[in-house]
Amino acid sequence: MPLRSRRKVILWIALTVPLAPMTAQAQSLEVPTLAAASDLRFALEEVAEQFEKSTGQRLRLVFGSSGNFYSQILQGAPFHLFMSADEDFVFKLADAGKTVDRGRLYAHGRIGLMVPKGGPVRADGALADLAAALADGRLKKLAIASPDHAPYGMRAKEALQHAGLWQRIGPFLVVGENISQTAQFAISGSTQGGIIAYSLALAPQVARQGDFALIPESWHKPLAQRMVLMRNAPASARAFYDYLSTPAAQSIMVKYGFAMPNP
Amino acid sequence: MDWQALSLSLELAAVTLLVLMPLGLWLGRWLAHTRFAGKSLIEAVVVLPLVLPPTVLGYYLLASLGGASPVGRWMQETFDVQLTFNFAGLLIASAVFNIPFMVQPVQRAFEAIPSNLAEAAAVSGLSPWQTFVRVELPLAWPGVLSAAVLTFVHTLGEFGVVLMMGGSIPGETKTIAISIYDRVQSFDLRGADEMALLLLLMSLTAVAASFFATARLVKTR
Amino acid sequence: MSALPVSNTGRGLRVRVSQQLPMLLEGEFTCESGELMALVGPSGAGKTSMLRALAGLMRPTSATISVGDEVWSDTEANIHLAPQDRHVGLVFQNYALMPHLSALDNVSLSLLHLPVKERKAQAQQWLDQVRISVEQQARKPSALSGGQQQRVAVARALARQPRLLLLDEPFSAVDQMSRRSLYELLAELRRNLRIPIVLVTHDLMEARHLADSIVVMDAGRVLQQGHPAQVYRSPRNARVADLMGVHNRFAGRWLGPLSEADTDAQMGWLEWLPADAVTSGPHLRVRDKRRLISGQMVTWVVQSDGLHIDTDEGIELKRANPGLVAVEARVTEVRNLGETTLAKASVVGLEGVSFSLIRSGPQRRSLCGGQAIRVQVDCDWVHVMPIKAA
Repeated sequence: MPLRSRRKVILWIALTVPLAPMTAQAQSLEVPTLAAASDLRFALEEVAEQFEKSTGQRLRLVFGSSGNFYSQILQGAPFHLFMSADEDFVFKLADAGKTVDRGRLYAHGRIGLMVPKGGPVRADGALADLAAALADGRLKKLAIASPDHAPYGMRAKEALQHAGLWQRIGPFLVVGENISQTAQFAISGSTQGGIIAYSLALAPQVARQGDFALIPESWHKPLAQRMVLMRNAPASARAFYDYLSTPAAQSIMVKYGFAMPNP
Repeated sequence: MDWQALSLSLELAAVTLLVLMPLGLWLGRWLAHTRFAGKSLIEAVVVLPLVLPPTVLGYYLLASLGGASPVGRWMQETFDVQLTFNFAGLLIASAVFNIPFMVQPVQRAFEAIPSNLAEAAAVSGLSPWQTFVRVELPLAWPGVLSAAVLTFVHTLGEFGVVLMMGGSIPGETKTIAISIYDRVQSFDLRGADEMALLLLLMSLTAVAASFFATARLVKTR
Repeated sequence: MSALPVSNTGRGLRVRVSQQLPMLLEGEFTCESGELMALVGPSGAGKTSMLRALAGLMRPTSATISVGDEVWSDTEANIHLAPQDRHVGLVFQNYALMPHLSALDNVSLSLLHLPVKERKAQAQQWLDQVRISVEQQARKPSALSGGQQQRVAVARALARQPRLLLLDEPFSAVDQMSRRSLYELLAELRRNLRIPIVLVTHDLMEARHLADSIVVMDAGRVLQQGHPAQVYRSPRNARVADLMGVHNRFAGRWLGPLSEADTDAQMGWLEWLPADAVTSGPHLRVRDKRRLISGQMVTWVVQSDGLHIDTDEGIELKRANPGLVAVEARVTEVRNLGETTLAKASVVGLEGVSFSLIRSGPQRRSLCGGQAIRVQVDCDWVHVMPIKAA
């Protein structure tokens, strides 16, 4: 290889190699990193704020679909605490040996129908008006979360199946990558509504833009939301894990429509 | 305004540029000057990241560098270094993804230089390095600048690849584009607006400035 | 290829090249110091490739190239000096000046081994020598005329203190006025620099006027080297004759000397044959170079200089030369091109044989189709070549 090209390769390697340990070091600064289901978005932000105020410990929150987090953790994503919207994902991770134990139920979630204010479809928890809108053409698009990897999406599918609408409503569905995105679709005005998380519907930013009605819990499998600590979790992550059982944290969760599990 | 995400994106763009520039110069120049069987294949591979969906690239990088892969495991055991869900992983992804943006304009720029100029330089006694510095670079620099700006701006807005193998971790892999996405999901449309507009203005300014500089050079020649 | 070392005691250029792939390039030639050698041939003959091999820009599969006592290329000894290591000056066909540098900076490129101030001073001197004014020296090539650019390219080549100067088609893109000054420049260089100068051109006329020696190339091969007049006079074979602009080529049979007087005078007899090579034709008494066997079939040529036209209007040439043979012919084709007339005249009595006549300036006769003319062939100009000579 001519001298000039060799110089370039050396320069290139010299720049990249030192960077790797640098970033590895950054990880070890250990701010507890949480992977949280999207339905927890507003509720958890408030709880985290309270936690930071009382302990001074900062947290890093990452919201997304539980199914995605499950895959990422299996691939080695450096989360310390996983708050899933579906306990199956937690159990699978425990079986894969990634967690310290089999975790703890932290809440029960609810789904409901959200429609934009002044829209053609009414917020009817029994989905009767939805069925009517489907029949008479008022409904063009309905938003749900991904029935493949988002727990709230899976529950929405079950509810629609229960109401006998699932087959017919297929072509009208708009699928959100997680329940937050779904909520965004539901009230954006580009759809006539969507099946979203109760916790998101209660957030002031969302509530003021639409009307919401709960769907009966019996229509779908329960949203058993389970959380678990990962093997490499620092003590500060454990502290937050414990904090979530405190009355202070629980009252915020209840405010956002979560049912607390029996102690 | 998520300043952390913005500074992370700027840092990623700058370091990607630093890492890719020597590679781009070498590869672009080599492709411009050499002709051999199979060159089309190499050129196709160079262009591939352009036509590949970012998620596909992210997926393959995750599969080949992640904790479950042989490479990932080896890096973890030997250097205690992870290549996914952190800045290093983003850097690798960014470098791979921007190869066409870096190499192509540089290649075109070197191709545009009449071949006998390098020969005339050689005959006049210039070593290959001197020819590169005194003859080729001065003539190719608009293309090099173009490549640099494109790479920088493109990295700034990176989303799909980051989403696949970044994990959106604030301060580590939550780039500004991901932050915008996140703002929207938080129903903070004002925040999303601010950042989107800033990104738009930065990109537009950078690209316009490089075009302006190139046009001026062409005029004075 | 012979394994003998190339002995080069003079300070000239010695070249021997042999290559099949990727393109045929074959032949050898020499050029002495202070000599101007023209490399001529049609496009695609390999002249530029040969030049590039001399400059080191191309590496032939097999070659020995030496200038003075320096060996630049010797494939058997695995020597191949890079262009940077040869002190060679090359003036490219399109000048290859760096567009982003001024004329002065362009010439300075050959002087990078000197400190900056000295570099500029010397570059300026070279440019002064090729008559580029100080004001022009600061200009970029795009602001200079073609002729000026060429002179800058020459200055850059000379600043290298070359042991060999190469020029690739220097006349092709140049107008008449610049051509004159280029001739003068070349003549000056030949006088002042005692180095071999090789000039590639497809312009035969120029080669004949300027060069001390010409090398004729065709289809990658060196066909003949010699003084221009000599190659013109005595082309080695039909192809060289063609390339040298000798178009009057005929078939014949060599009879050899037929009497003692012939042998003493070193003359022989040539029978001019028509196309069918059967019918007998006129006999011409020409120089015997002792290379042919009696009865051998030959090709022979006669240059335009050796053909004179008598018309029926009774203007007869002084027969000072007993070697003139009168041949009756009939004009079949006339083409007037400005100052020149091209005509074809079929020879009476020889089936399928025609003269190609070129007349220009005062020598022009008004010829018309069908006209009967008498062509005086000066046997002194007749050159006989065996068929299929190498």
